[in-house]
Amino acid sequence: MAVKIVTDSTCDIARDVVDRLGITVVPAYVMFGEESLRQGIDIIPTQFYARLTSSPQLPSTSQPTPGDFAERFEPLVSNGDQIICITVARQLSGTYNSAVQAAAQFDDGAVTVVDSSTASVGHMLQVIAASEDAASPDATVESVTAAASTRAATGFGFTMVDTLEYLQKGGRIGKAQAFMGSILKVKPILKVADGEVLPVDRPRNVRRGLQRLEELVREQGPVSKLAVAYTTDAAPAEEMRNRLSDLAAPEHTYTVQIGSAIGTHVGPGAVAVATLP
Amino acid sequence: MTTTTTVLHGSDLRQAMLGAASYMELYRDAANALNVFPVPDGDTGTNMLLTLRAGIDQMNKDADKHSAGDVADSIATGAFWGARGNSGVILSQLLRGLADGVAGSDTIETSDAVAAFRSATDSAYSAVSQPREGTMLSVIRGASDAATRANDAGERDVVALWKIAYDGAIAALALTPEQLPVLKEAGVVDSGGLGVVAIIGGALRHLEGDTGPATDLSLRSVGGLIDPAQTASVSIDTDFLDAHEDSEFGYCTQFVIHGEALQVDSLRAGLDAIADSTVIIGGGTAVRVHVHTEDPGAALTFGVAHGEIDEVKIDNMSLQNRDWASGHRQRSRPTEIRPGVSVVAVASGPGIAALFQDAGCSAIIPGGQTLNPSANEIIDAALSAGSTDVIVLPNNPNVVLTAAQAAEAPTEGVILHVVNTRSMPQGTAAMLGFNPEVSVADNLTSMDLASGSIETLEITQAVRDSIVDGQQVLENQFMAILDGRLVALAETAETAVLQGIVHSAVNEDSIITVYRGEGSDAGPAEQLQETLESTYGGAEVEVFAGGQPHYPYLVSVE
Repeated sequence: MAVKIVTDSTCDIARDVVDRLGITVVPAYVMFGEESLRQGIDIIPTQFYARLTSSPQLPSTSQPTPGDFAERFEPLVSNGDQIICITVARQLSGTYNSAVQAAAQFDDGAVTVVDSSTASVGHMLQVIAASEDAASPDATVESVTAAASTRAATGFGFTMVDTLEYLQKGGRIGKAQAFMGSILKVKPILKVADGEVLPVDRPRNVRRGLQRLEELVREQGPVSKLAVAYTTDAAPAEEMRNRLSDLAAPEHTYTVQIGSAIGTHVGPGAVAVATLP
Repeated sequence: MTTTTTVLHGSDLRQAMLGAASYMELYRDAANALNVFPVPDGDTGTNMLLTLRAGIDQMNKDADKHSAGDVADSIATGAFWGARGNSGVILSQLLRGLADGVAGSDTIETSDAVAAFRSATDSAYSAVSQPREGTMLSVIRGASDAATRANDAGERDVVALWKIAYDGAIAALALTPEQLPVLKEAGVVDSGGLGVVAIIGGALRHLEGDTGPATDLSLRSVGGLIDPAQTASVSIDTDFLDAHEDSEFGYCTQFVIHGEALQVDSLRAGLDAIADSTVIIGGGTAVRVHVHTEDPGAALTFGVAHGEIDEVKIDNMSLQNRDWASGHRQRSRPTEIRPGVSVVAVASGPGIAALFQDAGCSAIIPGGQTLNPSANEIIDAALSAGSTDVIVLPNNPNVVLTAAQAAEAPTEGVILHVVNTRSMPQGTAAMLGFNPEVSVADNLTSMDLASGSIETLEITQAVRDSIVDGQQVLENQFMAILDGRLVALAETAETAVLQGIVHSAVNEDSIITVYRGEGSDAGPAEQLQETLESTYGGAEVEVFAGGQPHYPYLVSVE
């Protein structure tokens, strides 16, 4: 009997981390027309971006069903484990609601659902930190949940996109609409706060954008974990990681490729960075 | 003069103001031509004239005011809202000071006139953060000092005192090249100072009873050929009022009435009943009429009833978009002012205006490069934005003071802020630093930082021969001006960019943005782009069709 962490695949957590920490990942769906594909199972990022940039129609995304969550909760509950499920921000996706509906099918207290209030690698760092907490011998559902909720309120992340077009078409642009201008080819920097996409800055090119991202991260104070992510081009993410290498130890620094769920909305050429205090 | 005038009444002040405007009109082109930089903008004469007219317009609206103090207040109020350009703002402050100096007075004696000149001087000096001598400030002070000395010496004739003040202004104007080396180098007197002389001189002519058409003030000995008789293009007859105006009425109608014993007051009363913005200059056997009306026929019929009409000029103002009849118009405010921050920008050129709007600017105030907007136009745009805080981007050094004046004006429920952008590219940079989701204070900081992070290179053709910073500039040469400093001269606009940009901090990390001007072709700009990219390997070069007038290229380096 233990505290186990479940999450959804939108956080793009890497396979080796999942295996090492014993995390359960419930896949989200990406749909090209009628074709429904499970993230990370039926389609991997390289395949996804090839289709995203060549397909005449934009894909859409769909949250895991309550059944998908219940299917993963079931063996853990049967094993006597207690589950904390950390999802992508509920304002951005129906994933949280699916998890809550699935949790209702089990005994009270068997499954606790936590809203990460963010997405992508910010969400991922919360999942990793909660899994480390859960591995502690004196971990309880209450203590791990409390720490996870605190992180949901204090972690932060920024994403620089090549274009806001994908966020707009996917209906997730939120207040970043204000940066929708297209005459100057800016690289908008956005953040998710309280589950909402907000505009931050408009650097003129990637080089200036990376400088700005670095400033934004350093302004936030001490860092315990750092993650960088990219959709199609790893080089800027690697540069970001190098620029910030003094902030977090290598074993607490992560680089991931963003998959189909977030990739549908941020599009090719995006770079993200997230930290936990 | 044989008679002594011990007091001036409100009606004298009205007459003096009309004289001031008609002489400012006469000297407008001369003042415009005195720009030290031979660039086709910053029209001091036009800005001062339009500001005066805004004052007259308010004065005419307030026809029921009779005391000297009240008339002066109407003039100052109108000028405040209609102030255009730096010289217009300083003039409006001067007029405000003048009004403060005679506030509450029914009539003006010499001591009141001295108080008014002193107050006007103080107010004009306080309009600029770093007052410099050799400018219109020195000229109004020259007038003020002379008036003070005369009053102290016992002069009690107000018109005689005014004449002494006028002589003091001329003497001060003559000194301006000695005070400002750039004037001496260019061989000119200060343009705003010339405006002040024309205004005081025009007022004097009318106070002396000469209300006929404006004639030369014989200033030519002061600073070269500045009297209109020596400048070819000026004609009060054909150019009575600027063609860039409008009001709520449809046609700007101008004509001359030739008749017998024409009474300005009764003519005005008659015209006010059928038209708006009435300006009548003259009297006796000839008057010049300017009205705004929806039915020019009625105004002409009125004229014919009083004599023979001549020099008829009718402009359809709805086809134009400028307004000097400002300050008292019903503002069209949005129904709701929401908490939040928005931006309005002064911009000229369709491409640049589109860029500002695309980047999230709520309203564009046309102008900047050529005709400068009035404080009132800036306020109208700010109120149309619909938010409690509005940031104004003046985008031109000659609009910065107007924007500051607009920000000081009372605007219910809306606070105006100014980021002192001095070029369109600076404004664009500031715009990219704008984020409607953060506080106005944070926005002001980030926008200021963003606008300060770029250098602006402006390319324009010299409008006349001149000497600038020790360099001989020939008419039609392309000047490369980097943040207000002449850095290169060339025979083509593209060469001017390439030679000018060398003086900036450009390097292989730079972002170079090129805004090509009105009527330009894409071809030469693309070639320029390729040359810049190969010269500064690694630098990003973007070209936009800015469509700005007079400047074939505006370039920002960041």
